[in-house]
Amino acid sequence: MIQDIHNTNVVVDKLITTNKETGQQKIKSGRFQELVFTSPQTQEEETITKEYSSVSTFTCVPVPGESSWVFESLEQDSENSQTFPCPNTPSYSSSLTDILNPPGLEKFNTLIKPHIPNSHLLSIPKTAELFSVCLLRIYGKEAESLRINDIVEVVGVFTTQSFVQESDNFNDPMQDWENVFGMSTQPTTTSSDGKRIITLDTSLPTVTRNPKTTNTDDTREPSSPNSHHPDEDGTLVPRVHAMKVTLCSSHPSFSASFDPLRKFNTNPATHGHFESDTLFDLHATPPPSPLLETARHTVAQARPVLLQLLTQCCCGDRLAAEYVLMFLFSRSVHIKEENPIGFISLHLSLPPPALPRSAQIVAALNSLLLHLLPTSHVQQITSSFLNSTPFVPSLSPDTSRLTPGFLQVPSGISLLFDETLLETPTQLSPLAQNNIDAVVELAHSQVVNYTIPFGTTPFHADTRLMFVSAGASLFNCASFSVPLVPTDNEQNSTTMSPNPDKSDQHGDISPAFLFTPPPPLTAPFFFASTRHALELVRLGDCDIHPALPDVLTDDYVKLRAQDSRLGARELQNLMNLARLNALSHGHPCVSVECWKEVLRLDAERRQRIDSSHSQQ
Amino acid sequence: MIHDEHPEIKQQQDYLRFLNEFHVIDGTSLYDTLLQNVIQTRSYSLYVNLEHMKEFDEKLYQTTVKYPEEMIPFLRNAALSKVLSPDFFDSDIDKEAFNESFICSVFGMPKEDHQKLRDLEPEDICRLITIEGLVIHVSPIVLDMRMCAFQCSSCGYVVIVKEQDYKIKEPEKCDACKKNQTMALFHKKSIFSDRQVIRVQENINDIPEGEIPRSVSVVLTGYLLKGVVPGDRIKVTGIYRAQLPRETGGNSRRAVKSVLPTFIDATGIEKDKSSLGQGLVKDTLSSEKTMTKEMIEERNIWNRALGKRPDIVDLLIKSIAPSVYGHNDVKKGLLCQLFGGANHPDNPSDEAHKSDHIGSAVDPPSSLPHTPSEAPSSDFSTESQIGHSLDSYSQPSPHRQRGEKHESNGAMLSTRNEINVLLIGDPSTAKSQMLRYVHRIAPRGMMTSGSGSSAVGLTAYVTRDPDTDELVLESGALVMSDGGICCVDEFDKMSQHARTILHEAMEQQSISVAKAGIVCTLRARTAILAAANPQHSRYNTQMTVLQNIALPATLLSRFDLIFLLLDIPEESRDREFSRHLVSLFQIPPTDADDRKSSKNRKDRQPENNITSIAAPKTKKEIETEAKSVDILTQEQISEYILYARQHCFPKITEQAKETLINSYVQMRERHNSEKSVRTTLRQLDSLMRVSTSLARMQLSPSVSVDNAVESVALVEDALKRSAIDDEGVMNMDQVAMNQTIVPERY
Repeated sequence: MIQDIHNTNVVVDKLITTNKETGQQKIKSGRFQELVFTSPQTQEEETITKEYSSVSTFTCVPVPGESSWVFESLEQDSENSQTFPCPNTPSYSSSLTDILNPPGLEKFNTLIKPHIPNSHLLSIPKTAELFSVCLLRIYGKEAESLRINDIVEVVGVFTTQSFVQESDNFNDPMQDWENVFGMSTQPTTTSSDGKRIITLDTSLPTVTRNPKTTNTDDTREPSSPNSHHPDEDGTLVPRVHAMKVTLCSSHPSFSASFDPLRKFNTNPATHGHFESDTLFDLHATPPPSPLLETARHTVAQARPVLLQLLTQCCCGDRLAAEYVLMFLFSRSVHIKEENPIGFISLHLSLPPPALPRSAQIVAALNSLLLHLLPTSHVQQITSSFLNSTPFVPSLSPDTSRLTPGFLQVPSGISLLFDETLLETPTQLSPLAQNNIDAVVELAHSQVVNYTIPFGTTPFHADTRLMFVSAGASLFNCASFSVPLVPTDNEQNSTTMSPNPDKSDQHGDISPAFLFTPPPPLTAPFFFASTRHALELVRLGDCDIHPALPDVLTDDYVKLRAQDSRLGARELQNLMNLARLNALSHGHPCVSVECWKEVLRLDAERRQRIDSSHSQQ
Repeated sequence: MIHDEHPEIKQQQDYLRFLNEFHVIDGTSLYDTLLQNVIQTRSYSLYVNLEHMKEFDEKLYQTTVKYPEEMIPFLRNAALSKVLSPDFFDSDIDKEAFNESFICSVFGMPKEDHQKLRDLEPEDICRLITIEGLVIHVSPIVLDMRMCAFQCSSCGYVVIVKEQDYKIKEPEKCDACKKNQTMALFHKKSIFSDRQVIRVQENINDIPEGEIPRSVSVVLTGYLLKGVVPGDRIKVTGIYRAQLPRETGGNSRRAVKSVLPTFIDATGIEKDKSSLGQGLVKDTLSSEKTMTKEMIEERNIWNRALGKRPDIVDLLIKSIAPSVYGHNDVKKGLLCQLFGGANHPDNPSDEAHKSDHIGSAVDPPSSLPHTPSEAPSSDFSTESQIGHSLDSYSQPSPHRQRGEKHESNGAMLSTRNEINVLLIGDPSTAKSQMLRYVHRIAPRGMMTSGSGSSAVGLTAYVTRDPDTDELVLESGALVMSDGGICCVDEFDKMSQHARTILHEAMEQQSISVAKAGIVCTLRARTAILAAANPQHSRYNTQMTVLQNIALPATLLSRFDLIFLLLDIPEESRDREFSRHLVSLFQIPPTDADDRKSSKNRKDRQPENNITSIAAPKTKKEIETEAKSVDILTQEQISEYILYARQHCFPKITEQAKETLINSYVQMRERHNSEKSVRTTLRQLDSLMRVSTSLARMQLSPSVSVDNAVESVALVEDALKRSAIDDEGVMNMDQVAMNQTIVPERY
């Protein structure tokens, strides 16, 4: 995933060097490498030719929350197993340590890593392993179409070569990570022993002298213009010089199926001059009709099994399972000058009797989401987490680097907020309050306002939010809040996970432990086919049955007359839910039956809420 | 010819001709005058406006832009030769010192030649460019070595080496004693110059949706040093460069970096001090790479034609926040806020785009001396006194600065043109949506949430500069919104302390700071748009209006418009809304057959924007189009607002004044209960602003009686006063009935 886009630089496309003794000229190019090597005998002929072309540099990180099966499916698809590896796979570290210099690795672990604050480490992966970030260089203007948070597939030249690596005395290992992650430190001072030292910024010219040579051209360089704003060079940060870049949808393997740059259109009748392109639609074109039809059929078949699995995850609560099932199909579609449509956020409220099993419930839900969705992440919400972790990315004015935030995630990801361990009373800092506001904004309008110098800039998102809490949610922003009513007995629930106390939230709970589905839909084939179809259907279109508008308006008027609290937002949420209901049944359009079913579910949910309030 | 053999002579003579012949009045050219100023003031610097050069000789201008490093020295020589000529030469001046210190540089490329920061390409390297941006970081001033003195440690011989391409080559051996490696740096005789590097980020208006802003380093030297601070909006003219490759490596091999960062070597900087209206809304045309005079004229014709439409206000209401159904009165109030009041027009002699060039002898005229007008009496309790105070609005002195008003003792009071709006309402009444829409149209402002805002965050806070370790003041949301609209959501959840800060900002348009030894007053010419819920989240009909609003009266009086948004079930409106919502989910039939077509992600410009009109149209065609358009895009709304704020300053007529006075007196009599929102003198000011804004919407040069009546109706209907009884309790049936009538009115 592209985490940051650096300012465009130039690459020396053509560098002509002249041998001082023979006068022979050589033409060298700076593409696909960090350094252009010359011998000390050559002298750069600057007056002849030096051609530049543009190069864009991106900070790339592994896709946050990526499920392990994504890479496995890529490996199976790819002929070359040496594709850009995912850090969660065992082969990642070993392949890189084979390539890289062990002393660099050791130096990183001992000198650098302890000093990197958490906010600069990748937000969602558990730990920042070495080389869990790389710089991607793309030559030419094609890179202009790439955006922050895009997922890309890259084929190119991998290198750890860098300018500073050529230095004899690597005195300042922190220098590189400042450049990459925009952390500012005090500028280093020049050494008095004459050794070669690369400094960040000095008030006096730097002295570069090689102690091994006695007859060289020593140059003293005035501090260069960008020395105050270090560039992205870094010794230990690998680079990929791209030869081919493919923009992906949420699941890389889908990119081959259809055009990833699709726009979703709405009814122009209501907007007259409405443009044909929808801003910020981050998803691929819906798959071709035959593929979509097959996917719908698969989803329709899998629905009962999924519902059964989810019911067990929700302690036998079928209503909650219905909502979670529809949540799986949630997708945010942004329309210009309109609210985004098609998405819901969900809150599962655990009653006191279910609290001892909260960890199991969360683990089971997370496991299922990881098996079904290409990107998913569960996060324990504690006051220390809220108070210390910035959710909103911010652009540093000093170094123009985007500091990642927890909400800088790829399109389509599912975030499960586990609030069951939240302490009460909760002491929240201003940062925590800002974090909560950011989540609320995301839940309501699918927008994250990145902080930039002297303002903010909105980033449209497609993030599925689910909250699990004991009682009311701290965020209090979900589209639908469902009080969980456990109906299964506790004995059955212990079979859900082999290790209920397992702290690993990502979990590797095998589906076999969850439930024994009826044949032939048994794992692993069940999940392999279902997850693919689910994603295709999620990205697919869903029209409105012609009979629905009249029925919907009549129902809305009636509901409003009964309960004036039902307003515009509630109606939109119900409409979104109806669409998701239709998708979950594999229907091509939202029918009156889908709408009625949603009303029934909502009525049941409201009844539960009223009864839980009355009990309190 | 000698010119062919020595082209540099020809260039210098071309420049000399430009300096001698541009804009000659009474035998003296403009640059004659400027150079005389240079001598008299001993400023030793001349900044040449490139717009003048282009106007005089296009070819000379193009040559200067393409080869600035070679051409600017010729320009300097031409100016120097002129200064040192007998006509100009002042015998008191030290010729040699003048020759050494004289700086001649260029600034101010024409707007059509400006470039966007993110569009800079390798082809622009070593060329003159002008970009607009926001200063986000300023480095401390560092020393640059220009000439390095080396002294032989053996014989004491001193040699001077000049800097070339950011490099100074240390001599390997002494020229006198021929010994190797004996030369050492001799600081005393070395010559340093100051250098400062600033970081300029592209304007928020220029950032494409869904992208982070780009920035570039700009190197400042000479008179440009210390000229800018973070937060300044500037236009930088300079030479675009790539950092020269640095060599590193040992004896066996050397390496040169292949990827080079770029920067701008500034030759001139202009600070943008244009009228606030220009920065208030997105100026989409300025984001185009090329904008000709014809396009500007087309836009003006379009906007003037729009203004002439009798239904322009209805059209704007229909076009603003189209995703919000209904609430036409609220939309009207938001439009009033966007257009702003115009009680004190700018000095007509000033240009619309004011700028202050740093270090230039061509400074815009300083504040004209102003004379106090007839001082009104200090007692405002009678109509005559009110009339006197309104006089100052209707006939401002041409010498008066914007925003000034005088008390009876002649001291100046500050007034404001900004209209503050408060939306209080039930959930699901689209308050936050409207806030976001206004923030999109007027991005020069901050969007903040009341629950997450502190007094410090709104005003200013003290922090340590990472470079200098000094205590510095960082702007908060209100100060950063200077010239824009600060949108505050969840206003009721703001702490009491934070709300008290707003009192000064909303009325005085300034914020006083006294902390950590820093005592100052910061400008906060900000309009506030706030959204809040009633006290118990939903409007309680059993309680009075004031009890529901639950905000201090002192704060309420500072809002010009207070809208109560009640979510009352009403069948026809509910049906309309639900149909609208369903339509969003429907797939249009044309798209079903056109799945594969997709536009380039970069092509995000609207298709029916006037800027995308391909062939030049006649005036009549543009006017016809403007008269027939059914709904305006967000860009068109922004352009119209911008045009109105720059060109329209309505003056209140006597009849309108009379109407407002009468209405104000009636409002005072009617709403004097402690249980309702009282009418104070501030409301009279508000009525003035709102009526002026309504006139501005129609590009009317004067505020008519209709505008005055409309403003009174808007203020009254916002608070639903017609449905409030003497006890301050609202009659919901009356409100529902009014809501069915009100849409027709608006």
